[in-house]
Amino acid sequence: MNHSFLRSLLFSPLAFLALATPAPADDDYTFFIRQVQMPDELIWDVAVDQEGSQLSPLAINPNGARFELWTVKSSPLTSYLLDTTYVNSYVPVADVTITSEDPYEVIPRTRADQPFTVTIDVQGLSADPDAPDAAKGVKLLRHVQSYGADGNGININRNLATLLSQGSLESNGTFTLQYPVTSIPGADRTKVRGEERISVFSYEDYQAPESQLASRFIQIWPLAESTVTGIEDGDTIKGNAPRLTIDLNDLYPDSYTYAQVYKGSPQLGSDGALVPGSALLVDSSVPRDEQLVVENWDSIIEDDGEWTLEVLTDTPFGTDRLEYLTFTVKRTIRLNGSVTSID
Amino acid sequence: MNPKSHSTIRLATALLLAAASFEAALEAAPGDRKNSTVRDVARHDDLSNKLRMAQQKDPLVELGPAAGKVEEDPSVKNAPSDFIENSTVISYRGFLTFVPKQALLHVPEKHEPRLEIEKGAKVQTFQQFLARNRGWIRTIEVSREQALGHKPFPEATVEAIKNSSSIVVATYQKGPISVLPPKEPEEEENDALLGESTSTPEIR
Repeated sequence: MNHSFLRSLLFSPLAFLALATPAPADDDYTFFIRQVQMPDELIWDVAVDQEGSQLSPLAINPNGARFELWTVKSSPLTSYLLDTTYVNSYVPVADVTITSEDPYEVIPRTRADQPFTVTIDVQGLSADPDAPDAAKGVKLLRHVQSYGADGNGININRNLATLLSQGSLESNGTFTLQYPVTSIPGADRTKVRGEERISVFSYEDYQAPESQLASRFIQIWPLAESTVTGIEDGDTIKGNAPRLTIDLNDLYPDSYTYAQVYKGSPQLGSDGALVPGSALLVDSSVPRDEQLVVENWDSIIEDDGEWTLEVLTDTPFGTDRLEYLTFTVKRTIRLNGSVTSID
Repeated sequence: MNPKSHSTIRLATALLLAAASFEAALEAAPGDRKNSTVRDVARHDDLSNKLRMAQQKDPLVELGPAAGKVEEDPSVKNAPSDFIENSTVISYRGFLTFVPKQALLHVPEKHEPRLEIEKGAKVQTFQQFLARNRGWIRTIEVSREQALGHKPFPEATVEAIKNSSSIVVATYQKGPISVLPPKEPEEEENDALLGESTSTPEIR
């Protein structure tokens, strides 16, 4: 059998950079694509443009090759492996995609209470019982890794991820896996932040060890929380509206958070008046903490009676009420007295 | 009205428009979401229960039983070695690049200091670095067989490399490539035998 063929390799460093550990803040990163021939470890650095695709001119036969996409940061001098895939004439080709309700395209992401979907596509598996094991099946890995209390994934060591589960596939096709919620470890499930990674690996054979064919991860961010100080549930406002401080933690990277007031007792879905100065739009790649100070909001609580103040956050997953409290406005002064005359 | 006043008005108008559109964006944002149902934010207990249910049934495991070397994590054990450690650096005047180890065929003594990492230097691709330093870096295109050590270089080429006053880098299709030591005939025979005994069965 002639193993001599060239395999197409898509080169898109910028697309892969999005999956990188470092934040691509400037042109401080330089990309290298490395082809490592098995098993002699002959190494070739492919000359590529910043973006595009090309056929690898270095034949991968007879033992296959591993393609590695690296980025190197100038200061401090550090290299990051962005992606790697093993290619051989009889080893199948795999692809992994992860999606969620958040349409953000740079890095798949979702929130600690939300589901996500993994799609694994495997082609090229052999049905021949005499074929090598590496041609007849692939192994599947699921890793989870917490970023820690306030971490956002920068400079994490992915070798420290926990291998949560393993599976296998012995037939070609597209397989969809539904995960109702993340399994990233964390005592407070609302504050989990980290990533889940799904990988497809080849089986070991005489040519190469178990090697990565495809791998993707999804970032999981915590739920937002809010604390309003300056007013407490059950307070009565007799004069000017008090100065409020709204502490917001872990606002979702794509969110609109605001406070509203409406007359009456708390009721989910009520449409209220926006508290001036309380709206915050977050369009970021990581969660954000903010503190808002609200003053002079008398104009939206003119009538006496019971009022509700709510803090809401709007995300790709819907609108969540983070906090609410009721207060009473009592500004009308009643004079109890009598008028008498000398008549 | 003087031109300065016009500018001031234009600037003020632009700022007002920008502020208005930002405010409009803020006002519009809540209604833009496809799911406008409001709910109370999920609590720890709810999510713990959800997780407990989810952990009873991992869809990945249901695709097929764990197989291969299940006691090892291949993403750690077989991870590619570090790029920098697996490369030779060439640096000069604030810039540096990397080539695979064994890609340098000749380094004149006077250029040896340039194989040290220059602190703070900006990393470039080999092609970018070469373009700046053609005066003292030469490349030699090698064949795949030569890179694998299966075919020796012609003697004239070996002499030219040895006598070069420049650093000589082996390249394949313009990309730097490692050149493995020439294989002894015995090794070649072993390779041939290995190829015969381990030839891949035809895949239907």
